[in-house]
Amino acid sequence: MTAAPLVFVVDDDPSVRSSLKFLLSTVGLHVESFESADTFLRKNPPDAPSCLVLDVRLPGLSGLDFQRELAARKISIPIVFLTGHGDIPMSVRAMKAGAVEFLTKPFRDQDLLDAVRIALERDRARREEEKEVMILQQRFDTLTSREREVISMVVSGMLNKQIADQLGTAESTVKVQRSRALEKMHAESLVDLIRMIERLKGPSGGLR
Amino acid sequence: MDLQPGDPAEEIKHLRRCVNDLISVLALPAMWSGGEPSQIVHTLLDALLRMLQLDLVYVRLKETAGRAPIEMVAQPRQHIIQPHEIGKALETWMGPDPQEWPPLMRGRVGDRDISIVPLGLGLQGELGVIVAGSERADFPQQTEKLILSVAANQASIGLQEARLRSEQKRVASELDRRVAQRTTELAAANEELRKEIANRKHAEDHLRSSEEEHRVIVETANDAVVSMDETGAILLANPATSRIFGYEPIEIVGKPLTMLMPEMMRKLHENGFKRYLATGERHVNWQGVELTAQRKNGQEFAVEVSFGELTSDGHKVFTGFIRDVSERKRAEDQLRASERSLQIAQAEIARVSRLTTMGELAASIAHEVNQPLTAVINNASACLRLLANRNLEPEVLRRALEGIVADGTRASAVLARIRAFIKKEPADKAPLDINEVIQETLVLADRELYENQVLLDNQLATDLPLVLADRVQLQQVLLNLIMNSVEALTAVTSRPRLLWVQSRVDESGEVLVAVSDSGTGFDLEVGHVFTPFVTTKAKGMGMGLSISRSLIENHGGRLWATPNSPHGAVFSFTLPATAVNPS
Repeated sequence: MTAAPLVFVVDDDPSVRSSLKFLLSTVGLHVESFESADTFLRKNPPDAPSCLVLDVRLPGLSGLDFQRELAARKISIPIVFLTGHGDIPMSVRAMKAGAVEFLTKPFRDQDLLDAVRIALERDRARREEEKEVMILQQRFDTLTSREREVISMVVSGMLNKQIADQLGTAESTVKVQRSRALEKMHAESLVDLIRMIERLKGPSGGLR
Repeated sequence: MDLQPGDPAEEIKHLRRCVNDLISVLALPAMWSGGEPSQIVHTLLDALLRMLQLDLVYVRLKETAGRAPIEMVAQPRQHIIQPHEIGKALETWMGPDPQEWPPLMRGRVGDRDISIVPLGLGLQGELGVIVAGSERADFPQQTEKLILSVAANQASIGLQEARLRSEQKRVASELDRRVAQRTTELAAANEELRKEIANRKHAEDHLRSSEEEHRVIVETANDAVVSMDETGAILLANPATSRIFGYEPIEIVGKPLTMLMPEMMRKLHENGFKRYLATGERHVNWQGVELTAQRKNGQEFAVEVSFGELTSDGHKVFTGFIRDVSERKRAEDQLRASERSLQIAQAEIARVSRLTTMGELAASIAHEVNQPLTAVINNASACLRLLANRNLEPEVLRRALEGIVADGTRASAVLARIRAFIKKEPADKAPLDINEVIQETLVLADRELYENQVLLDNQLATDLPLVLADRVQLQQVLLNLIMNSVEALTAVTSRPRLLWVQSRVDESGEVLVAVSDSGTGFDLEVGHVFTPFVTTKAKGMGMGLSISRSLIENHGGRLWATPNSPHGAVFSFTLPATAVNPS
């Protein structure tokens, strides 16, 4: 939540670009526009919730190719597609690849603004998620290797005794290591810890 | 050598010599018997010259019976005077006519004095003259005169005979000639007659064999041969008729010919036949016309028919030669069907590719127009939002409105460009013979016509001017009109399904094509048939006539519809004639 949300418009048509900028600005959004995919890619990703309003038909890299290219670069920015003559297969492909919306030009202003709002929200949530996972990861990094072993066994449902048997230590030692790990992870309960570990294993987590 | 009295021995000797000479002279005819006058004269001259020891003997024979006159002379060797010179000298002395010459004359010939005795030949010297001359002063003695006259007589007789003989010969040869000529004529006439006889015999033989041949041909022909009289009743039918139609001859002889036709064609045939008998006007071509026939089992099939007409005892007999072409037709149909499906496939490809092009064009139009429209809508929407928030500053509004005007102008420019682009797509126009296009189209429609039992009547004017047109587009229009007619005709069961395709030059000098039918005609008002998306057909789009009209109008022509009388519709279109002359 460091900066105001930002909308990137990529369209080769200057009138369309400026009219989109004008329209989005009426709801207080900041807009940056680009005439091609390449010029957008040259820019560093912003540290703020953002989305892409992208014309399918672009000079050079097409909208759908651009979407693939972003995925390949692990740039997960939500995309609202605009098209002059969207056909169904094209829109299906775009949506499957994670597009927020596929709008046919000319569109109702509200449809675009809704799509942009959803896209920004999605990006904001993603950023939030990424941030939390990062904090958990930092905490997880402070654990000793024995504490990580114990936690992963706990998460998999083993009892303290079973863990002690397997590691060849005393049950009391396991108990100490377990409570220290919970403490380091700021987990309030075992259930909380399990949820944290699951998040770390998730798409943006470091445990895989 | 006159008789000297007083010397009997000498006298006897003289007389004996005279008698010998006379005997010799009398023997002369035996020598010249049967000879020519020239021979006679020659022999005579020689004999007299020798016997009487003359110095000159001259003979002139007059021209007789087509024979040239003869002049001949005999003289002792040392004298050579030409006969005609002697003749001339004699005439000088004694006048031109030998018959008036004196009995004795003495004159000079060359350097000698000569006594001359002319003697006529023939009773009055009509044959000619013989002249004996001697230098002797005592010439002629009595005996010499006697011998000369006897010789002249003998010669006369001989000449007369020769003359008769020659006359006879002439007559005989004339007779021979005439006989020969007549014989030749007769021979020629005979030859002519022989030839004539041979010819007649040959003709008779030929007639006999050709009658036989004809009979055999008719009997064994693969084609049905059916004769009918003026009432339309069948007189006879050959075996092939049974084979083709399934009737035994006894089943059809005496029955109307129409029983061999499908129901639908019978009335048409009867009317046409009546009209022919009344006016001599044929309702179908008599040589190799394609018609539909019906077998005993009701099956209809394609036949090719030729008609012949014969007047016998004042009655007309019509003979039809009917060939079952259903097999051939089937093969042709198959060929045509495969050609047609090829054409349809090609047309489909063309249509699809055109659609694809159209689709691409539409996409391009959408994009080109949508861009400015999007900008206009965005700008306007933004203004409305600001207005709703009472936050619209005039400067912002001005810029937005400027953008809207610019984008609106741009959209309309795009449309203008597209319209210009569509207009530019040219028809492939070339000078065409409309009849050719009609024939090509009828080939395409042939199967439909046959399958739907539509009888086609072409009335194509010859010597039409060419039209400047796109062949494919004209074919589309014609096919569209013909198929419309066929469709209108398939609903008809109570009357013949007739389709007329006409071409001619109309009053204004344009080429006019009319497609008429005896179909159901219009349910709609005539004017509505060209309206897009209006149709009477279950499967139709209602675009055919509208498109056809556009195509014709693109060619500078007109397309219109009128009701046909009493049934059906007429679709006509005109096309301007080109200045190009048909080659």
